[in-house]
Formats: sequence, structure tokens, C-alpha cells
Amino acid sequence: MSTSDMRTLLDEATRELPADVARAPLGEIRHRVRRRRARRTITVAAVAALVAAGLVPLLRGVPQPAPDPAVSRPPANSLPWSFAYRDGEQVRLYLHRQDCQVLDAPVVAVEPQGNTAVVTVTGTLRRPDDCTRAGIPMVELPPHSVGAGQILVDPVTGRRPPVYDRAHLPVAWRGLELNGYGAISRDAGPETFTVSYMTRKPKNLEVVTSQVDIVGTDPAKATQGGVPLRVGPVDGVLYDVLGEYRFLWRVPAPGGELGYEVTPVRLRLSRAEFIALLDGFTWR
Amino acid sequence: MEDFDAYVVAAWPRLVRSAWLLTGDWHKAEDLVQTVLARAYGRWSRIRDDAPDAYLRAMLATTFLTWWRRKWRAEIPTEALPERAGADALSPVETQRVVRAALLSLPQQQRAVLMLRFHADLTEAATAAALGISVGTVKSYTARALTTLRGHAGLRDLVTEGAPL
Repeated sequence: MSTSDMRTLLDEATRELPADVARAPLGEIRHRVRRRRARRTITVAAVAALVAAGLVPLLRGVPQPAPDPAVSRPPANSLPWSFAYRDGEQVRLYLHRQDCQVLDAPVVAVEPQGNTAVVTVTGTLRRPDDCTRAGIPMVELPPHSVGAGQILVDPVTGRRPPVYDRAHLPVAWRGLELNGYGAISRDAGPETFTVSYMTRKPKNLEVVTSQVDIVGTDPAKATQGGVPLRVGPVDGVLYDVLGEYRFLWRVPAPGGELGYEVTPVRLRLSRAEFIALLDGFTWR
Repeated sequence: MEDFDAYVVAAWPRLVRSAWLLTGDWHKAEDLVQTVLARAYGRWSRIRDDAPDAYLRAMLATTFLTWWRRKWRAEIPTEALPERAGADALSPVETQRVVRAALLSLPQQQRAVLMLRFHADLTEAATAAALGISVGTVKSYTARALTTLRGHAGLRDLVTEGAPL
């Protein structure tokens, strides 16, 4: 195959543009420009306010203890992990983001040490034939290997990654089918963990289903312009980014605090509709 | 910024095509182009007079390489793709399918190099500068990518039998 072939082939393969992506969505691009500017403004303003209040260290989340020498020498083929998600007895660990990798023959070792448990993941990362099938490398812990109150430690990094828990979510969501999970990180920012559920039709909204993201987030996340909101027994913060409403609340967890955020996906809800959506869930 | 809008309308199809070569998915390609254009908007006065297509395609490649998309299990394609009847019967859609499968078998950096070299027509030096790598690495990625693609059965048939070319 010559380089000339390659040029022709790439042109040929992209000749047919689907109708729904053929026209430039100028309105959507403008909207993104405005959102970018608003986010930048919010971040700068929030950091400025926190500097004034002397609270910048909070942006780093729960203080991380120095790595324990006893856990600082994991096996050479150990893999770092970013967060865990507990769903009843099932606990899954999600590895650091990888560029098109799947995990073969994973082995998990759990070593309890008082109120902590050192969780070591070993295995072979392999490049799959089709990167769209890769997802996030994930491994499941053996049943009952860690307690709900235990702090999990990744010996590769020496850190205590957040352990999100479906039990922290509103009761109404516990029986819902998991739509997917993911990690988001852009512009070298920290990764955030998301799980997504398909909710049933809320009684007071004219939508058939609404996909709702639960975002595991930094509990100290700045929510510029946010207002306190109590939903059921939960105290949180309601805020919006250019009219897209979000609800952030914090949950005590072993070793610190976790943040969760509700985000309706592909729905443009008014403030009243969003609060009605929140009220429609059973929170405890 | 009327000239920005005018440029976007004119350049949109070719930018989306370049983005598809990276992502292998038209809607992700559209999302990627929108992201890049939104970032470019604030720098437009500097970009517009100096080969904006090349600049934006370089941005597509670098954004793609640093962009960690949500990996929804629900998005994992599971359906079996239909067998193709033969090279002579290849439609543009099937050509696209074969090329997509071949490109997705490449590491992302090699895909980015191929797009910049053979779709954006950047020189090796310009490709190296856009991706922040050496010219030698560009040559190496290009050679490895072409070797892999030559070994890809569907693509080899496509080129040797000359069906769509």
C-alpha cells in the first residue's frame, strides 16, 4: 500500500457524510463557547473566594496520609486503580485510565490492616482488536473481602481512592438498571467517576425516561452561585451552569467525605422541573 | 466573528471527516470538532490568517489524544457485522466499515499521525510539531501504521483489487 493509496483510501472512506452531521451546528458551537467561558469564570471566581477564605487545601479533597512503608512495595506487575464502586456485596475497582487496554487474567489480593485494607490488582493489560470495545479496565473484588467501613488503599500509589456506594444514592435508584459507568477527565484534570441509571418515568415530568448521571466528585467542589437545598432528608447545593441544573450533596465515608452530583442527561429542565425530579426520588 | 461562522460552515465537512478518521464514529467526530471549534473561537484572530485548516486538524489530533471519553458499556457495539459479498460489490458504506476497522486496530497516536499526514496533508515536520514528537517518531509511527494496515485482510483486498480506488 503506497502513501498515495492511503490518501485515496482515507478520502474514499469519508466521502459519505451522514446527513445528521453534515451541517455545521453553529448554535451548538456558540453554546459551547459560552459554557467554556462561564466555567472559566466560575472556576476563577471560586478559587479567588477560597483563597480569601484560606480554604484552598480543601480543593485537594480528603487529606492523603503518607504512604505506609508496609504497603509501598507492591508486586512489580501491580496496576494502579482510581476508584471503587460498591453495589451491595459487590465491589468493583476501576483502574487508572488507559488508552485502549483490556485487563487479562486479573488477580486481586486484599490484605486487611486494621481499619484499612490494602487492595492490590495484578494482571496483564492487553490491546484489544477494536478500541471501541475497551471500556475502562475494571476488576471485581471477591465477595465479603472488604468491609463497608474499611478504607481501601492502593499500594501502587499509596493513596486511598474514593469508594462510591450505591447505598449512598436515593432509595428509588437502588433498584434501577445500571446503564453504564465511566470516567471523565479532560485537559489533564482529575478523573471523576460516573455511574448512569435509566430512571422510570417521573410522574410530574413529561419525559418517558430520563438518563441521570451520578457523578462521584470532590466533596469540596466549588459551586459558584449555588443555593442550599434540602431534598427529603438530604442537605445539598443546587447550582446551574448556563441553565443546566445540578444537585450536589456530600456523604460521610470511611476516612473522609464523598461528593455526589445528580445531572440530568440530554434533558433541558427548568429549575422547577429539576427540583420536581429530585423530589420524585425517595432519598432515604 | 462573522468570518468565524463563515469558515465553520465551509470547513465543517472536512473537519468532521478528519475527526472520523480518529474516532471511527460520526457522532463522536462531531463532538470532537465542536469541542475544538469552541476552543478555537477565542483564538480565531490569531488562527484565521495562518492556515486554519492545518491548525484545527492539529487541534483535533491533540484533543483526541488527551481526551478521555466516557466509556459506556451500553455503547459497546455487539452486533455482528454483515459479511461483504466481495470487493466488486463494495459500497461506500462498506468501504468505510473496512477502513474504520483497520484504523481502530491502530494505536491512537499512529491514527493521529496518519490523519495529519495523509488527510490533512501536513509534512512530517509539521506533524511532528503538531503532536510534540520528533520527526523520527512520525516516520516510525507512519511506517508501523502502514505495515499494520498492509496486513489487514479487508483493507488489503480493498487496495489490491482496486475496488473503490
